[in-house]
Amino acid sequence: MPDLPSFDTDEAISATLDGEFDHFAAELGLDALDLRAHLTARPDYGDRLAAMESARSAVRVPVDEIDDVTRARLLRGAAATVTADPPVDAAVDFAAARRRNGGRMLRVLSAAAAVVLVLGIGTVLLANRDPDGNQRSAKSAADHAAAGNVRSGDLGDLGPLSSAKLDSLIGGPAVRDRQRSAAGNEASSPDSADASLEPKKGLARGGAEPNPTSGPTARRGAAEARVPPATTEQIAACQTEYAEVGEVRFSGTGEYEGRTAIVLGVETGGQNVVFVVAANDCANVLYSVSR
Amino acid sequence: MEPRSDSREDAALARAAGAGDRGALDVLLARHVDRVHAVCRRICGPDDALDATQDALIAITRSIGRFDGRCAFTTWMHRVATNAALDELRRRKRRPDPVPPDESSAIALAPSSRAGDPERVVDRLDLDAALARIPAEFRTAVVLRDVADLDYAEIAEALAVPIGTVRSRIARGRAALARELGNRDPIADVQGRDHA
Repeated sequence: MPDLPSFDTDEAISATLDGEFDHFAAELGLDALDLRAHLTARPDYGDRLAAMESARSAVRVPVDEIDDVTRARLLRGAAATVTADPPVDAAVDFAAARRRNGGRMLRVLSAAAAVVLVLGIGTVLLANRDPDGNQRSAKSAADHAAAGNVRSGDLGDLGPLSSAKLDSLIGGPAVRDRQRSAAGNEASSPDSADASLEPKKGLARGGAEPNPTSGPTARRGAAEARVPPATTEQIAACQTEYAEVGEVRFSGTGEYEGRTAIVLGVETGGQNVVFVVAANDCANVLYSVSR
Repeated sequence: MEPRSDSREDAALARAAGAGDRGALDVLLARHVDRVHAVCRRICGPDDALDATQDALIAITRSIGRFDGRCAFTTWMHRVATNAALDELRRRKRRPDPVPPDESSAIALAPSSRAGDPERVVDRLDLDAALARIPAEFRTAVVLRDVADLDYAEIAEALAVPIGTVRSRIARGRAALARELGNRDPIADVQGRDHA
């Protein structure tokens, strides 16, 4: 057997397992047959081959598949970043920031879940209070027609946020809830059905009405908003976090009670929910309405 | 969003997605999410795999417009997934670990076994613990070869290193992994005797 230059036995064996042995021999300037003969003549060849093969086989054992719900959530999370369209680097930075705030996602989910639950109960109450079957059917048909008017995409700067404006995003009057913090310290009970059907009721009724700037201010529009709009990065951050709740259908920014807010339309559990959240804290749900 | 079938090849879908076809992007992501997850799972381990997968999917979504088609879409995708997984590992290092790594307890999770029959005796915990103990650059190369099924040239492209480096890292990674899987035997055997 001819003398060969030294080579790494593990590399040679590993390359053999991967069908890359000929390339390996060529890189060494050796004939593959000579190199193979030299390799297999080594006394430890069998043991090393078995060890390499065992490691290779272990890693090749398929990982547990992700379940359908998790898979769908992951895909929604990716899709939700499309509409905001921040620069690539910003998106990556945002993802990193999201990870750094470990408990934040839990706060968002808790807040959103509480809102959805409350709004869901309100919806049921509304349905049960309707005394006339025919009217209920007519109302349902109207609701379905209105549901077709649910907005989507980037809504831009909505200016001062009124209940009518928020209702219009999901096709008309709906069930409302309002809470002051993600922890739900001042989370309101579901609005009464009457209040829900009368969107112009004031906050004293139990917190149904977003009344950022009443009177003429409410008509100023985005250009004259007293607070700056949320940044693209802030909106993207909230979009991704609320993608855990459901499919984010639309987003925008606006002014709510003198503070910068982000508006998110989320489809979840068959409901369209509009969340108004603090721009600097997605988990802080300031107001919500659903259909 | 439901995964939808589409007979188009990855390259065609990637071109369409890069041009703004949201449906094509959805199909691509749905088609490959499990592969992305598998790579992240083996590089990051079970605790951070989903976070890494999410970041990878977001990164793919954000940067699909920059995919130029010079390599296979899957090669590019695995590069993105690998970077996301490695980023996740770096973030994990910066986080306080609630339970300090305990080598003996990790090994003790393994049943008594012989390294020669991995599918029978190596359960997930064994493999996760063993993979976690080998250097990340070796682990990454091994995962791209044995999980993503990329050839050496594709791995070199994905990691931006020469093929010789890929071959070396895979060999060293497998050797280290074989040692990790084999090293537990004496300890497990001792525990087995103690419990007998």
